[in-house]
Amino acid sequence: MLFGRPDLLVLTTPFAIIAVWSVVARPTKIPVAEVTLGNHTIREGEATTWSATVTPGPTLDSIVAVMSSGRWRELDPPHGIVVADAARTMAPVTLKIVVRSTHWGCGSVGPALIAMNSTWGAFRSGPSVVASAALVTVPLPAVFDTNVPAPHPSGLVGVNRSAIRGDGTEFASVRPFHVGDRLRRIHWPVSLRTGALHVAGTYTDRDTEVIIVLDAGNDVGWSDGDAGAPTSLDLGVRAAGAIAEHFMRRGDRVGLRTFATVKTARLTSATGAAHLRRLLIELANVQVGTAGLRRTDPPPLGLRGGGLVVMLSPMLSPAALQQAVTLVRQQLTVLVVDTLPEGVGGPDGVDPSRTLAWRIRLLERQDEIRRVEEQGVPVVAWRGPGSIDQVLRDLGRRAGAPRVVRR
Amino acid sequence: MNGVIWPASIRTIIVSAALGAVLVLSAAAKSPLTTGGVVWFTALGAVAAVRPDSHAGLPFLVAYGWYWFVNVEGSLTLRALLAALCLATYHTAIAAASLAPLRWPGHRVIATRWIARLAIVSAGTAIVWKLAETLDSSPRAGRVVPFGAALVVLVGLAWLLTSASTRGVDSPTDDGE
Repeated sequence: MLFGRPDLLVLTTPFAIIAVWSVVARPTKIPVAEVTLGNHTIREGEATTWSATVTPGPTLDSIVAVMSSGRWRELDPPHGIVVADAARTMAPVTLKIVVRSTHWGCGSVGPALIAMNSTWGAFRSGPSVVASAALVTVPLPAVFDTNVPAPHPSGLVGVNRSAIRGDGTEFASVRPFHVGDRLRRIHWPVSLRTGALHVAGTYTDRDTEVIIVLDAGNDVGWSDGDAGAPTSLDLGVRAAGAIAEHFMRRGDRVGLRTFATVKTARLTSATGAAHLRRLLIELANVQVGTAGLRRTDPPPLGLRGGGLVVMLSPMLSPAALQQAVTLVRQQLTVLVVDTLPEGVGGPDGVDPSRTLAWRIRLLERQDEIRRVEEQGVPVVAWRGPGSIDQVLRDLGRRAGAPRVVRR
Repeated sequence: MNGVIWPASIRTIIVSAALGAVLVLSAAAKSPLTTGGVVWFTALGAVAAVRPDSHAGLPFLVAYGWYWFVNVEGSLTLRALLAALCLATYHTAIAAASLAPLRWPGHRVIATRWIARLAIVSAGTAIVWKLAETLDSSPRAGRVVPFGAALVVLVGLAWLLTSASTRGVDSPTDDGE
């Protein structure tokens, strides 16, 4: 009995049983995994589901999917490993991994590995690499609101009080009745007192055109995703989304220009949910430019006047400030929003010379901002809701005042 | 199943099974294992516990089988059964651990299935051990029928293995061609 060694027969028996069992349960067909991604466009902080569906054969035992998380991805389960029990079932088995995006931008989900095991793990298909799926994470607009109407409304119908008198809601003055005036506008107390018909005149309500200009030439700071500290570009992109969403909800037309970026965005002014979605996707595509911006570059606007230009910039590049001055000289109402995060350039406790260099640069920056403000460009720091209220109010007052025009 | 339990318990099972097998081997051998031998087997078991998806488990089994063949008397004692069960546990635990990366926290259903498989294999091994012991202690003339039956079973298994192993596997790209 086995070389006269029955003990060897006993010793090898488990392996013989496992070998026979494995070979008998050998898979006859290699299953195919179909991979899908729930949503290809999500907002920061939102999640989508990556799923792989496999129709198991009769002898498939388990299916394993492993996904790597990127810097801006959070997986559920956190380890990114899902094992599905495929034994005793012929129905399709779906493995799901929830992917949460913590930062705006265009990226991908995966790559993932999928392996399928037979009984005892004796036969394995894979692990095969599943191609990454594209995922666009649009910025989650920062909380923003303003009660101040935009200056220079020049459209057709909107909620901003224009400088033109006509049919509207905002009271302008009481004036004598003219042919064509609506009877419900007659101001009876004044009419009775003066003996002649008077009407309450109003300003027309119109929409305005807002052009958001985003400076992507610098990205200062360290980003911790949607729940942590932002960089200057994070602040700029999220503020741009917030301003666009705010004005579009009021019925105004919003356009977008980016400069000093890898791919310049030029989105013409429009309104509506579809346009907001386009604008947010353009913002998600913004990448920090490396070439910088030359002073002589023309402002990429195509705005004839009458609208509001909101420039979002950390103002570390003199060329960006020069752009703002150039726009003002074109009779445009320009507002510069400072997106440099708080605390940038503070003592880091590591390199005193770097801290000193930052202090010098910030002092230079202050001087540059002062000179730009002297040119008539208001500069306001981005601090969320109400950030630009006062500046918009001032701009509205200034719009009604006489001014010197360079010819 | 808790995320910490599966990797820790599967590694503990692998090392414990290896140590158990080494202890049985040391007790069954004509001369006890030297310290170097114990360290050698323990190290192989530990490597297999750390990297179950590698080939680290195989050298342990080969070395163990060779040492048993050379240094253990051919008698059929309970130690042979214990060694076989330890080796079966060692092999099963490594196979289960290599199912997914060890960061995987485990799943109760899959863990239960692997335990059930090990129980079936252990039961089969115990039955074979009992049969072998019965045959070993019976007179030579009375072994003809059991040997004939065992031979028929072996031939049947060999045929089954051959036919199963030569069976083709349909590739996904073969569909519809």
